[in-house]
Amino acid sequence: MIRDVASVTWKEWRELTAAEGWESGLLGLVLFVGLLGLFLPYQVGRSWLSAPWVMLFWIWIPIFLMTTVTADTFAGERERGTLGSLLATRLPDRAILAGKIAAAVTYVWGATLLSVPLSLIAINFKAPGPLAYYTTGQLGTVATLALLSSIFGAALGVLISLRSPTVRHAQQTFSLGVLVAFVFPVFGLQMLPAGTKTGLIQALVFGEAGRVALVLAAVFIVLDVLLVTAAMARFRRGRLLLN
Amino acid sequence: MTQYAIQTQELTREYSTLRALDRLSLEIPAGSIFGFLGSNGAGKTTTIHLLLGLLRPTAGRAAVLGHDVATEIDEVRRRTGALLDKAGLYARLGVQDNLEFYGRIWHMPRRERRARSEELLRQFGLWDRRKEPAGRLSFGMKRKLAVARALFHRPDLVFLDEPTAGLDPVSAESLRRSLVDLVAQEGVTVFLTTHNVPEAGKVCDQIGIIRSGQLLASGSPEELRASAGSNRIVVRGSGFTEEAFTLLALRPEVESAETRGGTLHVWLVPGSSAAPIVSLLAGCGVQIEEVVRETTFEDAFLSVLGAEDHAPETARVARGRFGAVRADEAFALKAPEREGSNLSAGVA
Repeated sequence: MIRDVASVTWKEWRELTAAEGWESGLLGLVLFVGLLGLFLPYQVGRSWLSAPWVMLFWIWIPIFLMTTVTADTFAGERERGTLGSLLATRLPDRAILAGKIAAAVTYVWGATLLSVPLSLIAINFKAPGPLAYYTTGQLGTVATLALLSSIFGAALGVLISLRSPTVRHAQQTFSLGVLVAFVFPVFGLQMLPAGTKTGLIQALVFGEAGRVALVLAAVFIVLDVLLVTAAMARFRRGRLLLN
Repeated sequence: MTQYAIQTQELTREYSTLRALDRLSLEIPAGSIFGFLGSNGAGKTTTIHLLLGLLRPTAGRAAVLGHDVATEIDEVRRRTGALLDKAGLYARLGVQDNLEFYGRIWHMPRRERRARSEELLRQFGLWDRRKEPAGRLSFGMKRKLAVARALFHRPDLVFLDEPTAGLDPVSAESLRRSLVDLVAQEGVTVFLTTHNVPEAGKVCDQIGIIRSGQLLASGSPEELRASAGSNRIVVRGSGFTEEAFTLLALRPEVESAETRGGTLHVWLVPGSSAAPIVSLLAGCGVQIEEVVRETTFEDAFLSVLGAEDHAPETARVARGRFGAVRADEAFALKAPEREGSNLSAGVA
């Protein structure tokens, strides 16, 4: 099973990186990550390392990046006529699914982690003084949150791509979903009682970063399990072809 | 090893209002090249999808290489290869990487993958382009690469869905030759679908003719030729005048006629005698050297479809529900295959 997952992941990575013009694609990715990794930390300064709300940034970046990567997983294969041949191979359903999720996760997670050293450069440049750096615990937190949100984005993207007729359709659906997912809490926050709202904002701004990270991690673990399970349940060879 | 590579019993597949496959019963011997002949929409691709477990049958059963498709599909897929209706190549991957991926899927060791890809790419004339993205290849080369990929892991049975469709005659012949050579070398059973009648007659040991999801006939090309009888006469000689053609076209026994080089080919209405035609030609001053009555596989195929068209009206109405197509609508066999003048338009 692991070998099968690795085969699918290998293929996905080759498609992402061995493609003609991949350099420009990668350049775009690096630029995007670089801009976010440099610009925001530069604006925020040293509190970037300790403010609890920064955790949201490490969650948001992978999900945003997933839009283009996962839309292609099944909808792209369907559009280009490669899905039938893939499904006719000996690969088990779970290996195909897990391989595609793994490829998307490693690609996006890796790209997100690139912005960690960039953010340190920006912070130290903005506020000269003693060297600002992440502690091992902070690095672990950032890496874990980015990984969990990468899995969330990959599973959601694959789930959408499974039944989308085209890549464009998958991208639009995913973007809409992400938009709703991020707009909903903002509006939800407005509807909360004043006391609760203030408490929540204070926790995000002045609270303990570790505790916020723990809550976020717990939420994303549950979401990841639910989405991966749903994707597995929806993966049906015959229906994929008919669609 | 089982005697039959494929066995189906009353295999049926329905889509809401359409019966794509209607009680198909087949037995395909191991080691043979089986050609499934039929027009677009006849049920060929549906059959392959059912045999690979990509679709579930509405009724009936199928066994591939001795494994029940309903319960042992993993084993079926492990031992088979497939080129489906779309080549399914990864355009952004290199030519060799397309094969490499399939080698990995079938857990072939690295050294074997390298050797096998070199062997197949050389055989199909793609070795020099192995590093290029598959998307840059010509249509014919893509089909060759897709066939190579289907055979890469040395399957016991390979499904090829119209492998030469859309190819120019030279590329199609080249692909056919490579395929026949490979099959002879490796002893693989081939299930090949096509709507190219001469191709099936040339390449296949066994043939099944399908229309509107129903198997009309099956057997070796020789058996089908023999069962069809002989409706074509070939007249060798000279002096085939326009007057002779005009009179020929008026004869009720004649379906169509044409000249090819120095010979005249006349297709007769089934059951007709050739004698009046020979007399007519002699009367028109044609100098006849030889008259041969023969049947090509193409004639046999048309005869099978023709016999179906003459089936009782009730049966045809019943099939009509599933969108049965008339032979003359479904196949344009004669025109592309023949050269020279053609009288078919003038013959009622």
